[in-house]
Amino acid sequence: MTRYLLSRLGQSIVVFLIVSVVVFFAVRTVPQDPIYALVGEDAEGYTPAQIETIREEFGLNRPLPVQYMSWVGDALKGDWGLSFQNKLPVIDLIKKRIPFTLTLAVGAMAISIVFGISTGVIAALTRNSKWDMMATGSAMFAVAVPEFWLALMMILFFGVTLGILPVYGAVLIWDDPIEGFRLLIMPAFALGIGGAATLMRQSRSSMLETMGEDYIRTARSKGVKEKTVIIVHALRNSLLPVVTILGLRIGRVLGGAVVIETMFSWPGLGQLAVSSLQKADYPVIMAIVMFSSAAVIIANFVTDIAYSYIDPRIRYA
Amino acid sequence: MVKTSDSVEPSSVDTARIQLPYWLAGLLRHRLSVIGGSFILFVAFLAVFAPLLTGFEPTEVDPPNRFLRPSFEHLLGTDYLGRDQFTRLIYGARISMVVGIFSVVIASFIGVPLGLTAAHFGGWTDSAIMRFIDAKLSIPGLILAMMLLLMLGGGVLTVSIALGINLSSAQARLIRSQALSVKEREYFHAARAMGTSNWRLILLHMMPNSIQPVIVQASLGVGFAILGEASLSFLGLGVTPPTPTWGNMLSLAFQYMRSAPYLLFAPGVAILLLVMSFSFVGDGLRDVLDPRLKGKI
Repeated sequence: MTRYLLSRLGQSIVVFLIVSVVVFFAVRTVPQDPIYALVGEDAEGYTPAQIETIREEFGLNRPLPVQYMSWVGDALKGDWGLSFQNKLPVIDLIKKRIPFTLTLAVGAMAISIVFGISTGVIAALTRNSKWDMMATGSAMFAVAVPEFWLALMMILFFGVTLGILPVYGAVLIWDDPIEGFRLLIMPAFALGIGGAATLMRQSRSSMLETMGEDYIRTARSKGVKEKTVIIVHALRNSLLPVVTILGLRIGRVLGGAVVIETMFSWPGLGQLAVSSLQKADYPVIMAIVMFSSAAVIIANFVTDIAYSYIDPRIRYA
Repeated sequence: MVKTSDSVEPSSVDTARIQLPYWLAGLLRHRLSVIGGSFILFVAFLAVFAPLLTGFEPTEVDPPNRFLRPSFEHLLGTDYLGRDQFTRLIYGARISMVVGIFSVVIASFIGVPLGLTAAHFGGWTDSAIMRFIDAKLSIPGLILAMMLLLMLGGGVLTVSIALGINLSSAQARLIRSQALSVKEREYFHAARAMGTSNWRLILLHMMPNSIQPVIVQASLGVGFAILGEASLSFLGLGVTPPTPTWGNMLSLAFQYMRSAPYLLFAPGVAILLLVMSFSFVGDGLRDVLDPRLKGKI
């Protein structure tokens, strides 16, 4: 187990390094010169010599490999550079936004889990009934619906027509629980519903498979109550593939957050990604990509380990 | 998930008059695929014959007639510049269809060679390719696509490349796992023992025997690409205005949602139905080509 963990950890670090190299160089091939993020669109009031000085100050005149090495060195020490747009430390910008994106991501995942697993299990238990058809049908719908359009429809209905939910802005849930929750409902729902559909399909098919197993028949013939059979015997055993999907969802949620945060003026990482990509703000882009990629890599790692807890038969040699 | 009751037995296909290819005959017996396929053909028809189906130009501005509600003349109303929404919708279908299909073609052209190379050579080649794919997968798709678009510039082709690169890793992983099992088959050992070159082994023995899931994945990928394109143009990236796309139509409708909420419906429903149709056909193809893949793709 330890050996497996170590090699898996090594792999994750390699993957992380590849991301950093590829993204560092890729970002620098963007045709837009980041100097304009520093001096303004038309560089008004700057002489060419001053522009060169600024270029030097931010180290943009050095060869790329040198820039990369110094970036890695600083990043490891916790210094992620200054944003080109407002000269604020990148690490502070990111720190300020992480709680928002985290709240949204947790909200979306919660919606996916609650709706996905419950409808999936109900559909499996009432196979081919009208409940099953309804659940399966809505999953087809939810997989294909564009997140941002669903958000638009909710804004139109709950925000504009009924006026019962606020349509933009964000308050952290621990600052103002009620308003924070009200602001979270629509974005979290829009972001989580696609995941709910995927989880629904997976838990339905996995539950159906488990219910056909011998040990379920044995439990029933022993006279175990149906409720116990479902909760204790079937549910736990059909959870494994569902956990895999959950781990894989993190990346999707972080990607989807880009659109949803922009729509709801949600001050998270996704919104920051859009604005810094448009301005070629290298240090911020690098930090966001590295952060999201770390989140995904860690989620996959944790998922792998979670396997062996849920299913003790899986032992990594 | 498609019900098992209407999935297909490849045998006993109705071959009374015309001999259809078995996969097409199979698809035609798959109810949801027929519905999805018909809708795709319908959208393709609208897209191709768009100029003949409307009296307006998609970028034709008519300020006095802005924000008209749907009427007989303007089936879906007009936007803030007085442009006919129905016209823009059917011209927008061109972008969605083309980007959807280009993206999966590009994804297959990137993913298939990578997956086959990884499977055939194994060892370090395999590890290197797979780590690269892991690295790519660890960056959220939409952020990756946005970065690629900034590097490549906007346009139908660049959007397709960006989305194609995104979809390619699924293709590579799928074909690799299939190819690894082909590699253990007797015919493959036999071909190798006869001294067949690596190229011939990969192209003539490995690829044809592991390509089926790629085809299924590709048909499902079209839907993802259409959604991706819509999200990107909703954010103002990708195919740039005034060219109408369903995504940028919704982005405009969002800005004017209080004065013209009716603009919000058609493009969204169009995306939803088209994506659903492609996934129906994809599910059908999977059931026909390889029912064992059910639940895996």
